[in-house]
Amino acid sequence: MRGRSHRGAWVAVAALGIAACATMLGTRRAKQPGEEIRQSHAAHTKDLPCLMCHEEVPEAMTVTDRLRPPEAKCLECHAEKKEQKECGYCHTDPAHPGTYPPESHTILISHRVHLKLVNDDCAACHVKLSEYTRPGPTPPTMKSCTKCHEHRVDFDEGRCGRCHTDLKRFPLKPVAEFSHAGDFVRQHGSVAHSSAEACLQCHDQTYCADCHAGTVPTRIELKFSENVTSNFIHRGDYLTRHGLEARSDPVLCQRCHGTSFCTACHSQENVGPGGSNPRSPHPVGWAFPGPTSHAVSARRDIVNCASCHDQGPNSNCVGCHRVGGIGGNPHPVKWQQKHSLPEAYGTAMCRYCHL
Amino acid sequence: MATSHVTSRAVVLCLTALAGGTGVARAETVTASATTIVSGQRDPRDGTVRTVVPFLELVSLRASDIKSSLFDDTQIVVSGWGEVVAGSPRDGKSTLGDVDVAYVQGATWDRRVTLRLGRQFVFPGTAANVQLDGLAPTLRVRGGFGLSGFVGVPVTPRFGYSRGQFATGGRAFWSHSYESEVGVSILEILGTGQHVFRRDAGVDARYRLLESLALSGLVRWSIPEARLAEADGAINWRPCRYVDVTGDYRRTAPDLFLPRYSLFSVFAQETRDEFGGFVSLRPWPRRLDLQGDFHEVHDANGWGWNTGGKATLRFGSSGGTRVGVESRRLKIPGDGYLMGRAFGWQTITTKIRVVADFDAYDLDQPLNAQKRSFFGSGSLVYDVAPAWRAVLTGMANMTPYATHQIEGLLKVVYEGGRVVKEVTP
Repeated sequence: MRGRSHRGAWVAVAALGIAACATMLGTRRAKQPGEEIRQSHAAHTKDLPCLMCHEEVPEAMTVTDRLRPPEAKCLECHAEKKEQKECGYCHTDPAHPGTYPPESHTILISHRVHLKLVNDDCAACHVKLSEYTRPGPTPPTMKSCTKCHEHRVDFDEGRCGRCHTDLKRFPLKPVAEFSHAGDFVRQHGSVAHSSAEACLQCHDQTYCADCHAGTVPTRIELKFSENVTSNFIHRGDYLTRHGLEARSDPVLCQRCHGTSFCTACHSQENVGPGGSNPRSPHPVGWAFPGPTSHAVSARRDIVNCASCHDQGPNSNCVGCHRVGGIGGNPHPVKWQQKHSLPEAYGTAMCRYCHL
Repeated sequence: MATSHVTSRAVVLCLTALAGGTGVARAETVTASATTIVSGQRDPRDGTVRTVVPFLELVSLRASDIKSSLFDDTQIVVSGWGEVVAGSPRDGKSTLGDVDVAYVQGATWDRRVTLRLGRQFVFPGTAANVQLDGLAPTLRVRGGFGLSGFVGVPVTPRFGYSRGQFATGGRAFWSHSYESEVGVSILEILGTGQHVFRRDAGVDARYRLLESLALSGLVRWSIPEARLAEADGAINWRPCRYVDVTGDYRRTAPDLFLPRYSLFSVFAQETRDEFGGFVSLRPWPRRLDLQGDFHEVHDANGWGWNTGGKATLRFGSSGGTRVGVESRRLKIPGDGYLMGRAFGWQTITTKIRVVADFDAYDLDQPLNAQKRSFFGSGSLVYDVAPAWRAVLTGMANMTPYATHQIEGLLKVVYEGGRVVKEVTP
């Protein structure tokens, strides 16, 4: 299957690459909030109510940059500083005075609704405010949200999307509470079966695709070659141990790979009948009843057989095990209790043997 | 599944998502990542050593916070890759490419209905990680109850057999909290000629009984075979923040993980059982991690076991130095291996660190007349600029398959995690 040429997919990937490059080139290093304007909430809130400067807040249904006071509002008190060209009084870079850098607004909240609930007491939620020495956004803490009953329930039910539009860029409390520690690599599949939406609050599916997509081009151990602390499955010399691992837990391999994955590689190595110069790895007496017969091994570990002999109807089992062949009935015990002969005649796969 | 169908679908999905993203890009948050990997290796193949030099480009784009009159929180997620191989590629193909994920997702009706359309994974319930091109809606009604479903065409993995021509399924769930959810689900995947590839019913649960105790499990029942395809259960106990203990049991039917129309499903063994436990200790928080596990395995071959341990120590300011050792012993009837591993991580400056990894295997039974294998790698990691990283890795090994092999890898990563375009309603 590796021979599959993806010309069409190449076009898609090229388009995707161009779009990614355009995004990267269009990205300038954004100044962080607090890098442009210096001010002290402590000094201002001593004598003034918050809403005196943040005039847009009482009617705001969403969080936007407009919730911060415009320059005109500052100049109502500090006009003389501008007239005296003391730009450094407010601007951190007086030679290039600018406005607030844009912030990332990923919280869904209506100030209009919430201000009524807290009787216009902004400090009920905004317990910490930015200062000269502590620039940057100071959003309300989760505790200030969940202390209200409604949001406690949202938190407990994992309905993060009612308030958060994007959790993927932040260190999250659920990471600690949900505990990715312990045997999480082994157990995460079990968690995802019943809590997939909870996972997607923080991880989008590209994160899952790194390991789970059947379409990925390389092992994750190579993609993150510098990450030596993670418990990757195929780390180090996996080639040497892959046969043992496959015999120990064939299902683990088949969840991602399927038997034709094995066949493709074994044919190239000429250890399967599909190779250009095939060599038999089997011991003497393999084809006949006896201590080294293939029969017992095949029953125990058919995937091992399939890793070379999966040629569909041409698989060499059929030659001997078909009805009337010298190989006899290959079905497990109780097979006939579950499958009828008419069913066999109606199924294409069965008809290889049941002519 | 014809290859042309696969690639056509990939192109349509990718370009549709991009077109959609371009149309609304001025009103959204956009993040991008691009990883370039160039590696060179000497590849011993059937007695001949070849040289292979792949150039691999992996790109992903994510646009979110897109508002519209119909949907809230619309996201467009696209991830794909392209590869050019110089030298002597294994399959003779010098160009390859594919799309891993390409979907559009939106929520409506007070976020009670979520729709996801495109190439995606379906994880919940008995679907358990089906990658498909299709539609997956979710409806949340009151009291934590909800319904989810999916319909589409399974994606054929690279090198793999077709996973079916059509897949559909549904799940009803009750979500008590983000840590506790119970669901019942059904799945049907049809193969060529409407043959049943898989038809399963399942029950899954994850439930936090106490603050320190959680249970999780999945039971999958094969409807055509009228027997258990898979059952696993685990109990996780966290008596304090420094100790995690897990006990688990898993039964699988290996033959039911083969396509039901595969000839090999006739021969395969029907049960495999595994049980054991895992312990994780952090006796010196943020400095020392200890892990150990033991699992007993039983199948038609007889009994075997798999056990291992790992210790990781961080020291220096901000854990700038890390060293670890790991060991594993796999024993299956008549065969097995013992693995030993050591790894380390040293921060040189705030932007540069070196990483080393070494492992060795001692095989119970010789492979190509060799019983030992050695593998080592070293990496130099340089954080070139915010969001940019370069990694240079060298790998060398002496294994039963090659007397010696050397591989080099250069990786350049861009992780554009910042907001490029702001939501301005």
